Amino acid sequence: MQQKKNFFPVFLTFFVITLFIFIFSSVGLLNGLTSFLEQLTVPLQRFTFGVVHKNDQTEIAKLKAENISLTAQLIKQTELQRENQALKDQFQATNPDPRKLLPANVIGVFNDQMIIDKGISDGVKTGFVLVVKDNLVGKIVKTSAHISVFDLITGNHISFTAKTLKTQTLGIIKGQDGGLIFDNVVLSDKLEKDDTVVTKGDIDAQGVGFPPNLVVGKIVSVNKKASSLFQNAEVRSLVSVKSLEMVFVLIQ
Amino acid sequence: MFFLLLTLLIIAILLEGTVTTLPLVFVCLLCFLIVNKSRGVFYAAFLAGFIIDLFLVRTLGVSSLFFLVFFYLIILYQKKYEINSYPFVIVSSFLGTYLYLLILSKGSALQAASCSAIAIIIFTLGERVKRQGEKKKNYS
Repeated sequence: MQQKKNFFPVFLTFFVITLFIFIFSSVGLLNGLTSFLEQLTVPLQRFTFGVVHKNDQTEIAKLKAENISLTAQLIKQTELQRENQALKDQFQATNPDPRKLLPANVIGVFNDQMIIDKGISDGVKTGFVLVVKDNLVGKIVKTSAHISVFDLITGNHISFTAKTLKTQTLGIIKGQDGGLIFDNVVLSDKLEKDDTVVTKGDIDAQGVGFPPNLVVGKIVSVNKKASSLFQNAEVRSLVSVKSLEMVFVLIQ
Repeated sequence: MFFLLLTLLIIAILLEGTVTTLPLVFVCLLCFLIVNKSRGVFYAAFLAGFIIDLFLVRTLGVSSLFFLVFFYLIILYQKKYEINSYPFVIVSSFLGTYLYLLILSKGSALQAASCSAIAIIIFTLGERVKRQGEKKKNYS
């Protein structure tokens, strides 16, 4: 009974204080305090992440980077050819305007989420997408004053419409346990191995969402059964998301 | 003992805030509560929970609330049963981790089991340091 009494006042005091902090934080009254404290914690996160997560510049990594760049150039060329053929004078460039890209350092990596060192004070909002050399990487799901959390496209919480570059086949990209599935493709449409999958474009009324023609990945295998309603394909991202140290937020 | 707790806690906060989803802070504090049964663990739980919420862009206080309630339940339990044992460490760390992950995102039995393994290591380390400290006091 003596020991129980000793702990109860301490527990009750901290419980009440924490409860108030929780309530105030939930309604947004502590945003100023959070903003100030994040200015202290973000450099610490950045340093720890840099120490733990070393960037390996091997020959393979360089070749992968070159592959990403060449795929981006291929998409630009294919779109330009399509534009010329269709003679559409109002067709816009498919790649993000460099002036709208905000560089951000990755300061935390988890299973299907990452943390970056940019937040509301830098113009970042929930729903913005992240890219690396025209490759779609993720979507912002939480923001605070100086930090944002984004879901990787390979996580289980993201899905969006996409199309293949060669055959212009429409479908839905779904993240699945670290991989990507190009699903809900009509059986009559054609899916080819090694074809590049790009975003179709899912912008909402506020102008936030997935812009068109961002690279999602390449098809590595096709799963087609005559007895099913749809076919699907396994897609592999060209970007090794776990080794990312810098990403770019597309300011929309 | 204090410096061991502080060192392990700082490492746990940094790792949990940057590279792992395992609730290392919770495991650390739980083990030290079982070994020490000190009120200082409540202070540490309050602060550490606050810091980890900042790192992970969560609503401030959610981690601290969980830590405080769970640790107080442990204190109530220890009045009737012995908690300074490996079976209790394994069960409490597994249950606590699973509940914590369930509240915040998705409960994972594998992660909870991993945390139990880490808890055994920290508990063993804590017990050894405590015994060494007691031996030094007896000799002096």
